[in-house]
Amino acid sequence: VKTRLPSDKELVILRLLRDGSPERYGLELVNASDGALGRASIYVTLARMETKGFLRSRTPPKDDHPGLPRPRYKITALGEKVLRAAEAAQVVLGAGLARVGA
Amino acid sequence: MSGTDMFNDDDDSVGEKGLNDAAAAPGEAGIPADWKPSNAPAYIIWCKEHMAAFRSVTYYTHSKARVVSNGHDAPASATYPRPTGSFAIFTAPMRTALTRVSLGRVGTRHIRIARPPAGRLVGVLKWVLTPRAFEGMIAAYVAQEQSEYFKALCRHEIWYSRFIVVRMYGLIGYNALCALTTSVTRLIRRSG
Repeated sequence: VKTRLPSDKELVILRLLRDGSPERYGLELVNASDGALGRASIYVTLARMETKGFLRSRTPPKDDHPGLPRPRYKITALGEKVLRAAEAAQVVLGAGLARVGA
Repeated sequence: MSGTDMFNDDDDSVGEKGLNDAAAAPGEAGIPADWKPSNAPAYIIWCKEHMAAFRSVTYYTHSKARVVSNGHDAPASATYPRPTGSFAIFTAPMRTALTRVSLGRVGTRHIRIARPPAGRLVGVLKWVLTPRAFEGMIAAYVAQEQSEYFKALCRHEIWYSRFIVVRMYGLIGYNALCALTTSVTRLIRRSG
């Protein structure tokens, strides 16, 4: 199965979902990212990550307020694997750059 | 109906008991037969200190009833059950759009009647966009903003709740435009 590489924003989301609470709302991720994620683009990014298989969303039938229920997002096994690979690649790249003195 | 508000519930002591009364079926408890229930959902929001309660109410309109107040003329509307358990007719506040006639403050500091914002826009976008685009981008964002809207109402931050609605319309418009542009671009690429 061909897996597309995650973007910087997607890596931030994957880290937040792995290190924080297991299930989070979109706006919780925006608030926890310290400005790395924007309110306008968070759901577009989350939808794209769900298409790639990095995330799984669950919408409860009823929420604690009137109106539409908020979906909660959870990292998948593929998402964790991709995050580990990206972090390992960053370590290798950082070591290589240090060796050449960049 | 005259210019005075027919719903003069200034009693600030309406408690949880009144809110949790069972809703009566239409036609009961003296509701006139010519008042018709509308399809739009409305909610009584009861907030006191850090507590919040939401209860669905039926929203009635009348084809001929009008409210005339200080030169403003608007159709009358009502909700049932109101917090005190009887049928209530609300007047149109000044400088209020006709579509929001009955959805204002009900008279006590802790109780409001409101609808989830952007309901009509969501209906239109559900029809225009693909299910995947709608669920992934629009519905998730609207749900989040509706939650913030009701939290702001419970904190009595009326102007912030209005700002949330404006922000939501702006961002929904932006997201819908992006989704439509993407769909059109894909169609053009496939065809050419």
